[in-house]
Amino acid sequence: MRRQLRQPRQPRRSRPILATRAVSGKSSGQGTHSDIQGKTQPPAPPAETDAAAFAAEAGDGPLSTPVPDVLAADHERLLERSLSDNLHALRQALAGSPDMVMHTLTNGSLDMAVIYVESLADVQAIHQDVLIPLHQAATSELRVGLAAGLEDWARVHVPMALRGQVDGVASAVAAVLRGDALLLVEGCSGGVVLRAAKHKERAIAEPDTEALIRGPREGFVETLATNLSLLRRRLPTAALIVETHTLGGYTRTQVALCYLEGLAPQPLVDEVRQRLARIQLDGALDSAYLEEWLEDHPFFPFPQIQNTERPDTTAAALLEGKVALLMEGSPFALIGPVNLWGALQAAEDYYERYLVVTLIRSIRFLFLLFALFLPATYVAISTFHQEMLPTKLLLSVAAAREVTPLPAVLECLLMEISFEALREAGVRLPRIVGQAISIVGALVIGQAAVQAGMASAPMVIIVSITGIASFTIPRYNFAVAIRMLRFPMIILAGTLGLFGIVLGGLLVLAHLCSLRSFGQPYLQPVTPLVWSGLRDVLVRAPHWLQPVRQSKVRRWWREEAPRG
Amino acid sequence: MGQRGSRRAPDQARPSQQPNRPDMQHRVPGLPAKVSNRQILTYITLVTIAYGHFVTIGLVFRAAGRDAWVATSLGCLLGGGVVWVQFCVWQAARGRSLMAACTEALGRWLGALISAVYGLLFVCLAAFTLREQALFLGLIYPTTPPLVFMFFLLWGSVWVVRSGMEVAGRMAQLCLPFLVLLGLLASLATLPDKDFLRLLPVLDHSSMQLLHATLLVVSLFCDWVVVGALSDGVDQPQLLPRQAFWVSCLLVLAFLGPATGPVLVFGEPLAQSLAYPTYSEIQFIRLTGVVERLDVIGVLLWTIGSFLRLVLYLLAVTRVLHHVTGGPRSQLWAVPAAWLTAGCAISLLPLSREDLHTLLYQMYPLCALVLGLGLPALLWVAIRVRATRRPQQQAAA
Repeated sequence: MRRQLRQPRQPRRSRPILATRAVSGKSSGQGTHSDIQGKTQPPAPPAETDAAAFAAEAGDGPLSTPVPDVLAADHERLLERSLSDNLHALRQALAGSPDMVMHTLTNGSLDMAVIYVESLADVQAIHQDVLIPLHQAATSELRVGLAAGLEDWARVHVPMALRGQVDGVASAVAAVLRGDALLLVEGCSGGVVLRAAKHKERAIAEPDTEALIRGPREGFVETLATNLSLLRRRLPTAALIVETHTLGGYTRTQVALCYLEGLAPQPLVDEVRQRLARIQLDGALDSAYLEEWLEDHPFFPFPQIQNTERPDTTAAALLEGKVALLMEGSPFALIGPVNLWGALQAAEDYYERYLVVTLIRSIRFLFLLFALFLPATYVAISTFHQEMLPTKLLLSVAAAREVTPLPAVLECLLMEISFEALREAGVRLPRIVGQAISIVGALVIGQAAVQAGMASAPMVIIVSITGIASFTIPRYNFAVAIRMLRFPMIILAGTLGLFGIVLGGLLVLAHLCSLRSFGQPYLQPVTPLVWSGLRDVLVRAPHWLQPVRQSKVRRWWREEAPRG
Repeated sequence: MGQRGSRRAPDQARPSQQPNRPDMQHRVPGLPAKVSNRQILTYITLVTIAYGHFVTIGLVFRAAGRDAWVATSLGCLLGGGVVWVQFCVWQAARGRSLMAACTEALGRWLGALISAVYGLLFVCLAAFTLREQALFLGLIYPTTPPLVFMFFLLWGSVWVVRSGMEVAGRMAQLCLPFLVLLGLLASLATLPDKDFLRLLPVLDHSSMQLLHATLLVVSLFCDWVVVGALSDGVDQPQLLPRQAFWVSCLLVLAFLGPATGPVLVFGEPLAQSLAYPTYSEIQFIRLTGVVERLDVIGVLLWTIGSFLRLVLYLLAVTRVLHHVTGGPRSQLWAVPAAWLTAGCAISLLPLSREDLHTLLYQMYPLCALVLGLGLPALLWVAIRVRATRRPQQQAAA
C-alpha cells in the first residue's frame, strides 16, 4: 500500500488561493452561510474543473496530487439528467463497496435517490433529515424551485447542512466515500452533497508524549475538524487563516495550513503553499509523510519541522508568526520554521516561573552536551588521555577496567547499542511489560554484565547517565538525532581521542550552522544574532519582557536578517 | 517514490535530492545571502585571538620579555591603523573583493599577478596554521604522525568551506564567546601563581626589541588582509573601517592577559625560552580532584581556533582561484585549495617548530607589512587616482 507510484504530471490548476481562504478561514462576505461550522459557500463551480471545484467547495483547495487512475476514467464524466443513468454510473464506480447504500424514493412523480456509505455516514440523521422530509412533503411543494437549481432547492427542502453541488461522477464518488450523502433528483443534472459524515473519534486527552505538570491537558485527536476547533478556541480571531488542501491520490487526505494573517510573513506562507503543491504521493496517512516532503534538508538527521500534539503549543507558534499544518487522521501538528533552541523548550516553560524555567533550561543544555559527548569523552580519556584524570579516579577506573576484555570503544558501543535496544523494546511492548523490560535491562544487563566482566562499572554509569540525559530533551525527534550522532562520536573518540571529539563537534556545529528551516537559519537567534530573540533561548525572560505583538519570525525576516 | 520538485526548471541539477532549499533562497526577500559585519569581525577576532595567543605571544616574549604587554598594546593600536587602511581600500572598492579591486585599479595582468601573490600568501598562511597545529597536537599525541592530524583538519575544513562563508561566520559567532569565557576562567585560575612584581622594571628592553615585538603584533593585524578577499560577501562594507578599528583596539584587552601571564607565573627568562608560554601557563593550573591536567584542554581549544583560521584562509584561496579562473561558485574550489595547502604544509614537514618560529620571528613581519599594509595602501592610491581621472576622461571625451 505504501509503494509510491509515479504519477503523470498534472497541469497546474489555476485556482485562486483567496477563494479557499474565504471558504475555510475568514468570512469574506460572499455567499450565504449554510454550513453548520460557519463556513461560507462559494458560487457554483464551473463544470470543467469538476474535481477541483468540488474540493474548493468542500474547503479542500486545489488538488495537489493527480487523481488516481481508478477515478481518472470518470474524471470528465458528468452526472446526467437521468437518475437511472446516474445510479448506473455510480454503481459501476462503487462496485467494490458493499456497504454503499442507494436509497431511491418516489414522491408522486418525482424520483430521487440518496447515496451514502453505511459505515461512514450518520444513517439515522439521513433518515430523519433527508428521507422522511422528502417522503412526507407534498409533491407540488417539492417541485417548487427545482428548475432554479438543485442546490437552492435542497437548501429549502432538506433540513441538513449542505457541502455543495457536484457535477461529475468522480466528485460524487469522492464525496460519498468521504462519508457524505449524495442526493440526486430525476431531471436535474448534478447532485447535492449533504454533510452526513459521522466518524468515530477518540476523546480529547492529554498527550502522552508531551505531558506536563502545569498547563492545558488537551491534545489533538485524529479528526481535523476537532483539531481546528481546539485551535480556534485558543485563537478566536478572524486573523486565523485556515487553508485546506487535499493530498494523496488515493487517501484524499485533508491538510489544513494555519497561520495568523499579519503575523506570519507572506513569503513563508507562499513557500509552504508551494511545497504542499509539490507533494505527489498516493497515500498520506500521517503528518510524518508531509514532514519529509516539506523539509529543507531531507537527508539530515536534525528535524527541521516541529511536531506537537498540543493545541497550546501550536497556538503559541502561530502567535510567533509561524505556520502550522494539521492533517486529517493525524494528532500531530507540524510547525515551521523551527530552530535548535526550540527543540530544548517544553510547553511547560511558559507556564512555570521564569527563574525555575531558566534553571531547568540550563540543565537541559548541559545534559544535551552529556547526551552527545559523555560516552565519547569517557572513551577518549580512558584510551588516550589517562593523565587528565586525578590519580585516585584513574586508579579506580583502571581497577574496574582490568577485568574487561574489550577495548573501551567496543565496550561503549556494545553498551550503547544494548541500551538503545532496551529502550526500543520498552517503547514497543505494552506498558506493564515495558517496565519489566526496564528492570531486566537495569539489573540483568547492567549488574550481570559487570559481574561477568563483560563491562566495567564506570561504563555502565556513563551509559546510564547518557540515557537519562537524552530523555531530558523535550523533543523526541531531536533527541533521536542526538542519539544517532553519539555513535560516530564514540568511534571518533576511539580512534582520535579528544581531538576526534573536537573535530566531530566542529563538524556537527558546521552542519547545524548550515541547516535551515523554511529558509530560516537553524541556530537563529544566536547566530545570526538577533538580540531580542535571546530573551527566550538560554533563559526564559518574564512574559512582560517578551516582545509584544510583532512576531519573532516576522521580525527576523523583515528587520534582523540583513544585520545577522 | 514520486518525483519531487516537479515544478523545477529543467536546468536545475538533481531536483529530487533537495527539493525545497533553492527556491526558498532565491525567492525570499531579506534572506541573508551575505555575512554580516558582526560575523566577519567576530570571525577575524577569533582567529586573531586564537593564533595570537597560540604562537605570536611566544615570539613577542622572545623579543621583548617582560615588556611584551607594552609591545602588545602598542601593536594592537598600530594594528588598528593597519586595519583602518585595509578596510578603507575595500570601502573605496565599493564592496568588491581584493582581487576585483586589484584588477580594476591595476589592470588585468598586474591585477592578476597581485591577486596570485595574495593567493600564495593565503595558501602559505593556511599551511603554516596546519603545520603548527599538527606539531602542537604532537604534544598530547606523541606517537601519532602529524600527517594524520593534517589530513583530518584539512578534510573537516574543506567540508566547512564547501558550506560557505555564511556557515563559517556562524561557527565563529558561536565559538568566540565560549573560547573567551574559557580563557577568562584560565586566567582567573592562574591568579594564585602570579607574582606581579615580575613585570618590573617596565621598559627594560631596548627600543629596537620593543619595535620588533610590536611589529610581530602588527603582523597579526596585517593578516586581516584576508578579509579583503571575502569582502564582496560582507553585508555593509562601508561601515567596516570604523568597526574594525574599534575591534582592534578592544583586542588590547584580549591580549593583556596572555602578554603578562607567563612572565607573572614563570618569570622573564623562562617565559622567553618557552615555545608556547600561554600553553605552559595553562599546563600548571591545578584543579585537584576534578581534572589533573588542563593542557590537553588547552590544546583542544586551540584546535578550534586553528581550525577556523584554516577555514578562513581556505575560503580566501577559493575566492582567489574563483576570481582567476571564473566559474559558477567559489566553493567548488575548496578541494583544489585544500590540495594546494596540503602540498605546502607537507613541504614544511621537514621544518622543526624552532625553524618555523624563526621564520615567523625574522622574516614574516616584513612580508606581512608589505602585503598587509604596503600593497593595500598602493591599491588605495591607485583606486583614488582612477576615480579622479575618470571624470576628467569622461569630460574630455
